[in-house]
Amino acid sequence: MSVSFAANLPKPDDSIIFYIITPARIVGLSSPILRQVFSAIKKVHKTYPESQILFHFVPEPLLLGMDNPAMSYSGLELLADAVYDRVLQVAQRMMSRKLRNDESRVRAFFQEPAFTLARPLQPNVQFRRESYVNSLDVLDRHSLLHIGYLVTPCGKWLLAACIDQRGEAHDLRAWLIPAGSDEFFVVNNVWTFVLGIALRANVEWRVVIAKLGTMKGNEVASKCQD
Amino acid sequence: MQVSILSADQHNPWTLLPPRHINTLPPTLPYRGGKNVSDAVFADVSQATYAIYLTSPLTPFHSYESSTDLAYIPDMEDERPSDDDLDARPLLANTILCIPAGTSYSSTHMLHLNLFHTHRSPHSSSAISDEDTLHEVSQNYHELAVLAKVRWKLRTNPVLPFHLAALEIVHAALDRGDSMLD
Repeated sequence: MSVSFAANLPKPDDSIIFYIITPARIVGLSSPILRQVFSAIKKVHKTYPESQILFHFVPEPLLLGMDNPAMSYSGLELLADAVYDRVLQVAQRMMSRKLRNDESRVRAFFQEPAFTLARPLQPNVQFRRESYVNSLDVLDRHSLLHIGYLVTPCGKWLLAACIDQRGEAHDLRAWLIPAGSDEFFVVNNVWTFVLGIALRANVEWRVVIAKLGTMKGNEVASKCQD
Repeated sequence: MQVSILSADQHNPWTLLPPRHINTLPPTLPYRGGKNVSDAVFADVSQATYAIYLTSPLTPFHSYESSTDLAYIPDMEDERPSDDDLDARPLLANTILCIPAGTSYSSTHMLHLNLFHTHRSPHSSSAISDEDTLHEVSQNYHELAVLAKVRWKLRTNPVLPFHLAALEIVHAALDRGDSMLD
Protein backbone atom coordinates (compact mmCIF):
# COMPACT_ATOMS: atom_id res chain seq x y z
CA MET A 1 0.00 0.00 0.00
CA SER A 2 2.73 2.42 0.90
CA VAL A 3 4.62 1.60 -2.31
CA SER A 4 1.63 2.59 -4.41
CA PHE A 5 1.16 5.74 -2.34
CA ALA A 6 4.77 6.70 -2.94
CA ALA A 7 4.34 6.03 -6.64
CA ASN A 8 1.59 8.62 -6.86
CA LEU A 9 3.69 11.38 -5.35
CA PRO A 10 5.45 13.73 -7.71
CA LYS A 11 9.19 13.22 -7.80
CA PRO A 12 10.69 16.46 -6.61
CA ASP A 13 14.31 16.92 -5.76
CA ASP A 14 13.44 17.68 -2.18
CA SER A 15 13.07 15.11 0.53
CA ILE A 16 9.76 13.64 1.57
CA ILE A 17 9.32 12.73 5.21
CA PHE A 18 6.68 10.36 6.50
CA TYR A 19 6.04 10.70 10.23
CA ILE A 20 4.88 7.44 11.73
CA ILE A 21 3.27 7.88 15.12
CA THR A 22 3.98 4.83 17.20
CA PRO A 23 2.12 3.97 20.39
CA ALA A 24 4.30 2.61 23.15
CA ARG A 25 2.66 -0.80 23.21
CA ILE A 26 3.82 -1.83 19.75
CA VAL A 27 7.44 -1.02 20.47
CA GLY A 28 9.16 -4.27 21.35
CA LEU A 29 11.64 -6.73 19.98
CA SER A 30 9.03 -9.19 18.77
CA SER A 31 6.28 -6.85 17.69
CA PRO A 32 4.56 -8.02 14.47
CA ILE A 33 3.20 -4.56 13.62
CA LEU A 34 6.68 -3.06 13.72
CA ARG A 35 7.96 -5.87 11.55
CA GLN A 36 5.37 -5.12 8.89
CA VAL A 37 6.17 -1.42 9.02
CA PHE A 38 9.89 -2.13 8.58
CA SER A 39 9.33 -4.44 5.63
CA ALA A 40 7.11 -1.82 3.98
CA ILE A 41 9.84 0.80 4.48
CA LYS A 42 12.41 -1.53 2.97
CA LYS A 43 10.19 -2.12 -0.05
CA VAL A 44 9.78 1.61 -0.66
CA HIS A 45 13.53 2.17 -0.47
CA LYS A 46 14.18 -0.67 -2.85
CA THR A 47 11.65 0.61 -5.35
CA TYR A 48 12.88 4.19 -5.25
CA PRO A 49 16.56 4.12 -4.41
CA GLU A 50 17.28 7.59 -5.77
CA SER A 51 14.66 9.73 -4.10
CA GLN A 52 15.06 10.89 -0.56
CA ILE A 53 12.08 9.42 1.28
CA LEU A 54 12.53 9.41 5.04
CA PHE A 55 10.44 7.56 7.55
CA HIS A 56 10.60 9.07 11.00
CA PHE A 57 9.03 7.42 14.01
CA VAL A 58 7.38 9.78 16.46
CA PRO A 59 6.40 8.37 19.85
CA GLU A 60 2.75 8.79 20.69
CA PRO A 61 3.37 10.26 24.17
CA LEU A 62 4.97 13.25 22.45
CA LEU A 63 1.68 14.11 20.76
CA LEU A 64 -0.41 13.39 23.80
CA GLY A 65 1.81 15.56 25.96
CA MET A 66 1.40 18.63 23.78
CA ASP A 67 -0.84 20.28 26.36
CA ASN A 68 2.01 20.44 28.80
CA PRO A 69 4.14 23.36 27.58
CA ALA A 70 7.37 22.21 29.24
CA MET A 71 7.25 18.76 27.70
CA SER A 72 6.05 19.93 24.33
CA TYR A 73 8.98 22.33 23.93
CA SER A 74 11.70 19.80 24.73
CA GLY A 75 10.01 17.08 22.70
CA LEU A 76 9.59 19.30 19.65
CA GLU A 77 13.20 20.43 19.87
CA LEU A 78 14.39 16.81 19.88
CA LEU A 79 12.13 15.95 16.96
CA ALA A 80 13.21 18.95 14.89
CA ASP A 81 16.89 18.32 15.53
CA ALA A 82 16.59 14.64 14.67
CA VAL A 83 14.79 15.29 11.40
CA TYR A 84 17.16 18.11 10.46
CA ASP A 85 20.16 15.88 10.97
CA ARG A 86 18.59 13.08 8.93
CA VAL A 87 17.71 15.16 5.89
CA LEU A 88 20.61 14.82 3.50
CA GLN A 89 21.97 17.65 1.42
CA VAL A 90 22.64 17.20 -2.26
CA ALA A 91 26.07 17.85 -3.66
CA GLN A 92 26.33 17.92 -7.43
CA ARG A 93 29.65 17.47 -9.09
CA MET A 94 30.59 20.14 -11.65
CA MET A 95 30.89 18.54 -15.06
CA SER A 96 32.03 20.15 -18.25
CA ARG A 97 29.24 18.48 -20.16
CA LYS A 98 26.06 16.80 -19.08
CA LEU A 99 26.10 13.03 -19.00
CA ARG A 100 23.16 11.83 -20.95
CA ASN A 101 21.67 9.01 -18.96
CA ASP A 102 23.38 8.65 -15.69
CA GLU A 103 22.44 11.45 -13.34
CA SER A 104 23.25 9.37 -10.30
CA ARG A 105 26.97 9.36 -10.88
CA VAL A 106 27.31 13.10 -10.39
CA ARG A 107 25.08 13.46 -7.36
CA ALA A 108 25.79 12.40 -3.84
CA PHE A 109 23.99 13.00 -0.59
CA PHE A 110 25.75 14.12 2.51
CA GLN A 111 24.66 14.62 6.04
CA GLU A 112 24.86 18.17 7.26
CA PRO A 113 24.15 18.19 10.99
CA ALA A 114 22.83 21.20 12.86
CA PHE A 115 25.85 21.42 15.18
CA THR A 116 29.43 20.85 14.10
CA LEU A 117 32.89 21.61 15.34
CA ALA A 118 34.39 24.38 13.28
CA ARG A 119 37.67 23.99 11.47
CA PRO A 120 40.32 26.62 12.18
CA LEU A 121 39.82 29.84 10.23
CA GLN A 122 43.22 29.65 8.58
CA PRO A 123 43.83 26.21 7.14
CA ASN A 124 47.23 24.97 8.14
CA VAL A 125 48.83 23.24 5.18
CA GLN A 126 51.69 20.91 5.93
CA PHE A 127 53.93 19.67 3.18
CA ARG A 128 56.36 16.84 3.49
CA ARG A 129 59.25 15.84 1.34
CA GLU A 130 59.77 12.13 1.35
CA SER A 131 60.74 9.55 -1.19
CA TYR A 132 57.82 7.25 -0.52
CA VAL A 133 54.52 9.06 -0.04
CA ASN A 134 52.20 7.34 2.40
CA SER A 135 49.42 9.85 2.50
CA LEU A 136 48.41 12.56 0.06
CA ASP A 137 46.57 14.57 2.65
CA VAL A 138 47.99 18.01 3.52
CA LEU A 139 45.29 19.62 5.63
CA ASP A 140 44.32 16.95 8.12
CA ARG A 141 47.62 15.28 8.82
CA HIS A 142 47.92 14.03 12.38
CA SER A 143 44.21 14.33 13.11
CA LEU A 144 43.19 12.58 16.27
CA LEU A 145 41.13 9.43 15.99
CA HIS A 146 39.55 8.63 19.34
CA ILE A 147 38.65 5.08 20.28
CA GLY A 148 37.02 4.22 23.58
CA TYR A 149 36.44 0.74 24.85
CA LEU A 150 34.84 -0.75 27.91
CA VAL A 151 34.59 -4.25 29.33
CA THR A 152 31.39 -4.48 31.35
CA PRO A 153 31.93 -5.37 35.01
CA CYS A 154 30.00 -8.61 34.57
CA GLY A 155 32.65 -9.59 32.02
CA LYS A 156 30.28 -10.56 29.23
CA TRP A 157 30.46 -7.62 26.84
CA LEU A 158 33.19 -5.69 25.12
CA LEU A 159 31.96 -2.32 23.85
CA ALA A 160 33.93 -0.03 21.57
CA ALA A 161 33.13 3.40 20.14
CA CYS A 162 35.13 5.70 17.94
CA ILE A 163 34.92 9.28 16.75
CA ASP A 164 37.30 11.48 14.83
CA GLN A 165 38.69 14.81 15.96
CA ARG A 166 35.90 16.94 14.52
CA GLY A 167 32.99 14.62 15.15
CA GLU A 168 32.42 14.03 11.45
CA ALA A 169 32.14 10.25 11.63
CA HIS A 170 31.54 7.80 14.42
CA ASP A 171 30.96 4.09 14.92
CA LEU A 172 29.94 1.71 17.70
CA ARG A 173 30.48 -2.01 18.12
CA ALA A 174 29.75 -4.62 20.73
CA TRP A 175 31.20 -8.10 21.13
CA LEU A 176 30.08 -10.91 23.40
CA ILE A 177 33.16 -12.12 25.25
CA PRO A 178 33.38 -15.94 25.17
CA ALA A 179 33.89 -17.54 28.52
CA GLY A 180 37.47 -18.16 29.47
CA SER A 181 39.09 -15.62 27.18
CA ASP A 182 41.82 -13.33 28.37
CA GLU A 183 43.14 -9.86 27.64
CA PHE A 184 44.22 -10.78 24.11
CA PHE A 185 40.64 -11.15 22.97
CA VAL A 186 39.96 -7.59 24.02
CA VAL A 187 43.16 -6.25 22.49
CA ASN A 188 42.76 -8.07 19.17
CA ASN A 189 39.17 -7.04 18.64
CA VAL A 190 39.77 -3.43 19.58
CA TRP A 191 42.76 -3.29 17.26
CA THR A 192 40.88 -4.73 14.26
CA PHE A 193 38.10 -2.22 14.94
CA VAL A 194 40.67 0.60 15.00
CA LEU A 195 42.27 -0.49 11.73
CA GLY A 196 38.89 -0.81 10.05
CA ILE A 197 38.04 2.80 10.88
CA ALA A 198 41.48 4.28 10.29
CA LEU A 199 41.79 2.82 6.81
CA ARG A 200 38.59 4.49 5.64
CA ALA A 201 40.31 7.83 5.13
CA ASN A 202 43.66 8.61 3.58
CA VAL A 203 44.93 10.55 6.55
CA GLU A 204 47.88 10.00 8.81
CA TRP A 205 46.00 9.48 12.04
CA ARG A 206 47.09 9.87 15.61
CA VAL A 207 45.09 7.14 17.25
CA VAL A 208 44.16 7.59 20.89
CA ILE A 209 42.77 4.50 22.57
CA ALA A 210 41.08 5.20 25.87
CA LYS A 211 39.70 2.74 28.33
CA LEU A 212 36.82 3.92 30.44
CA GLY A 213 37.96 3.21 33.97
CA THR A 214 41.30 2.54 35.57
CA MET A 215 43.88 0.28 33.96
CA LYS A 216 45.75 -2.45 35.67
CA GLY A 217 49.43 -3.18 35.17
CA ASN A 218 49.01 -6.38 33.20
CA GLU A 219 46.57 -4.76 30.77
CA VAL A 220 49.12 -2.13 29.85
CA ALA A 221 51.73 -4.82 29.34
CA SER A 222 49.54 -6.85 27.00
CA LYS A 223 48.64 -3.76 25.00
CA CYS A 224 52.24 -2.68 24.65
CA GLN A 225 53.19 -6.06 23.33
CA ASP A 226 50.64 -5.86 20.58
CA MET B 1 50.54 6.45 12.39
CA GLN B 2 50.96 7.14 16.04
CA VAL B 3 49.03 5.19 18.67
CA SER B 4 48.59 6.34 22.26
CA ILE B 5 46.99 4.34 25.01
CA LEU B 6 45.36 6.09 27.89
CA SER B 7 42.72 5.48 30.46
CA ALA B 8 39.84 7.82 31.23
CA ASP B 9 38.73 7.57 34.82
CA GLN B 10 35.51 9.32 35.78
CA HIS B 11 34.79 7.67 39.12
CA ASN B 12 37.55 9.05 41.30
CA PRO B 13 36.86 12.74 41.63
CA TRP B 14 38.92 14.91 43.89
CA THR B 15 37.24 16.57 46.78
CA LEU B 16 37.35 20.30 46.37
CA LEU B 17 37.33 22.48 49.44
CA PRO B 18 36.00 25.98 49.18
CA PRO B 19 38.56 28.69 49.89
CA ARG B 20 38.28 30.72 53.09
CA HIS B 21 37.44 33.96 51.42
CA ILE B 22 34.93 33.34 48.75
CA ASN B 23 34.75 36.27 46.42
CA THR B 24 32.85 34.92 43.51
CA LEU B 25 33.00 37.05 40.43
CA PRO B 26 30.09 36.66 38.07
CA PRO B 27 31.11 35.08 34.78
CA THR B 28 31.92 37.82 32.29
CA LEU B 29 30.03 37.62 29.04
CA PRO B 30 32.04 38.30 25.91
CA TYR B 31 31.22 41.48 24.09
CA ARG B 32 28.72 40.77 21.36
CA GLY B 33 29.22 43.15 18.44
CA GLY B 34 25.64 44.27 18.24
CA LYS B 35 24.85 45.45 14.72
CA ASN B 36 25.57 42.39 12.66
CA VAL B 37 23.32 39.68 14.04
CA SER B 38 24.69 36.89 11.87
CA ASP B 39 28.11 37.23 13.49
CA ALA B 40 26.82 36.87 17.03
CA VAL B 41 28.80 34.53 19.23
CA PHE B 42 27.08 32.87 22.13
CA ALA B 43 28.90 31.58 25.19
CA ASP B 44 27.50 28.86 27.37
CA VAL B 45 27.73 29.97 30.98
CA SER B 46 25.80 27.06 32.45
CA GLN B 47 29.03 25.29 33.32
CA ALA B 48 32.72 26.03 33.49
CA THR B 49 35.29 23.50 32.30
CA TYR B 50 38.94 23.51 33.30
CA ALA B 51 41.85 21.38 32.24
CA ILE B 52 44.53 20.61 34.79
CA TYR B 53 47.90 19.59 33.42
CA LEU B 54 49.95 17.67 35.98
CA THR B 55 53.69 17.99 35.61
CA SER B 56 54.27 14.71 37.38
CA PRO B 57 51.46 12.19 37.72
CA LEU B 58 50.14 11.26 41.13
CA THR B 59 50.87 7.76 42.41
CA PRO B 60 47.71 5.76 41.87
CA PHE B 61 46.28 4.35 45.06
CA HIS B 62 44.87 0.89 45.21
CA SER B 63 41.20 1.60 44.79
CA TYR B 64 38.89 -1.04 46.12
CA GLU B 65 36.30 -1.11 43.41
CA SER B 66 33.99 -3.45 45.20
CA SER B 67 34.49 -1.91 48.60
CA THR B 68 30.93 -0.66 48.77
CA ASP B 69 29.59 -4.18 48.27
CA LEU B 70 31.53 -5.78 51.10
CA ALA B 71 29.74 -6.20 54.39
CA TYR B 72 32.95 -6.07 56.40
CA ILE B 73 36.13 -4.08 56.29
CA PRO B 74 38.91 -6.29 54.91
CA ASP B 75 42.07 -6.64 56.92
CA MET B 76 45.12 -5.17 55.26
CA GLU B 77 47.47 -7.81 56.65
CA ASP B 78 45.63 -10.77 55.17
CA GLU B 79 45.02 -9.61 51.66
CA ARG B 80 48.09 -8.34 50.00
CA PRO B 81 47.21 -7.23 46.49
CA SER B 82 49.42 -8.85 43.90
CA ASP B 83 51.30 -6.74 41.41
CA ASP B 84 48.82 -7.53 38.69
CA ASP B 85 45.97 -5.97 40.60
CA LEU B 86 47.61 -2.66 41.23
CA ASP B 87 46.70 0.21 38.98
CA ALA B 88 49.34 0.97 36.44
CA ARG B 89 51.49 4.03 36.90
CA PRO B 90 50.91 6.48 34.06
CA LEU B 91 53.55 8.44 32.18
CA LEU B 92 51.54 11.63 32.06
CA ALA B 93 48.24 12.68 33.52
CA ASN B 94 45.70 15.41 32.87
CA THR B 95 42.37 16.09 34.41
CA ILE B 96 39.29 17.73 32.97
CA LEU B 97 37.10 19.40 35.52
CA CYS B 98 33.53 20.45 34.85
CA ILE B 99 31.70 22.63 37.36
CA PRO B 100 28.05 23.49 36.76
CA ALA B 101 27.43 27.15 37.40
CA GLY B 102 25.71 28.27 40.55
CA THR B 103 26.31 25.08 42.54
CA SER B 104 28.53 24.27 45.46
CA TYR B 105 31.98 22.78 45.22
CA SER B 106 30.79 19.26 45.82
CA SER B 107 28.91 18.64 42.60
CA THR B 108 31.78 18.61 40.15
CA HIS B 109 32.53 16.09 37.43
CA MET B 110 36.11 15.08 36.79
CA LEU B 111 37.75 12.98 34.14
CA HIS B 112 41.31 11.83 34.77
CA LEU B 113 43.29 11.05 31.64
CA ASN B 114 46.35 8.88 32.24
CA LEU B 115 48.69 8.31 29.32
CA PHE B 116 50.47 4.98 29.50
CA HIS B 117 52.17 4.30 26.22
CA THR B 118 52.80 5.79 22.79
CA HIS B 119 53.91 3.89 19.76
CA ARG B 120 54.97 5.39 16.48
CA SER B 121 55.00 3.32 13.34
CA PRO B 122 58.32 3.29 11.47
CA HIS B 123 57.13 5.56 8.65
CA SER B 124 55.38 7.99 10.91
CA SER B 125 56.10 11.64 10.25
CA SER B 126 54.83 13.01 13.53
CA ALA B 127 57.28 14.75 15.80
CA ILE B 128 54.66 15.70 18.38
CA SER B 129 55.66 15.03 21.96
CA ASP B 130 53.57 13.01 24.38
CA GLU B 131 52.82 16.08 26.43
CA ASP B 132 51.50 18.02 23.46
CA THR B 133 49.45 15.04 22.38
CA LEU B 134 47.86 14.79 25.80
CA HIS B 135 47.12 18.52 25.85
CA GLU B 136 45.43 18.31 22.48
CA VAL B 137 43.50 15.23 23.55
CA SER B 138 42.21 17.03 26.64
CA GLN B 139 41.03 20.00 24.59
CA ASN B 140 39.49 17.76 21.97
CA TYR B 141 37.66 15.75 24.63
CA HIS B 142 36.09 18.96 25.88
CA GLU B 143 34.98 19.84 22.34
CA LEU B 144 33.55 16.38 21.78
CA ALA B 145 31.75 16.53 25.13
CA VAL B 146 30.02 19.75 24.06
CA LEU B 147 29.12 18.13 20.73
CA ALA B 148 27.74 15.05 22.50
CA LYS B 149 25.47 17.19 24.63
CA VAL B 150 24.30 19.45 21.82
CA ARG B 151 24.07 17.24 18.71
CA TRP B 152 23.22 13.86 20.11
CA LYS B 153 21.55 15.12 23.31
CA LEU B 154 23.26 12.49 25.42
CA ARG B 155 22.39 12.80 29.06
CA THR B 156 25.35 11.33 30.88
CA ASN B 157 28.25 12.79 32.78
CA PRO B 158 28.79 16.16 31.05
CA VAL B 159 32.55 15.81 31.05
CA LEU B 160 32.56 12.70 28.84
CA PRO B 161 33.26 13.06 25.11
CA PHE B 162 30.91 11.42 22.65
CA HIS B 163 32.54 8.00 22.37
CA LEU B 164 32.91 7.49 26.12
CA ALA B 165 29.39 8.77 26.77
CA ALA B 166 28.04 6.35 24.15
CA LEU B 167 29.81 3.49 25.92
CA GLU B 168 28.21 4.54 29.23
CA ILE B 169 24.77 4.57 27.69
CA VAL B 170 25.13 1.18 26.00
CA HIS B 171 26.47 -0.25 29.24
CA ALA B 172 23.52 1.17 31.18
CA ALA B 173 21.09 -0.24 28.61
CA LEU B 174 22.68 -3.69 28.83
CA ASP B 175 22.57 -3.57 32.61
CA ARG B 176 18.94 -2.65 32.64
CA GLY B 177 18.21 -5.33 30.07
CA ASP B 178 19.76 -7.93 32.33
CA SER B 179 17.79 -6.83 35.35
CA MET B 180 14.57 -6.77 33.34
CA LEU B 181 15.09 -10.36 32.29
CA ASP B 182 15.31 -11.34 35.93
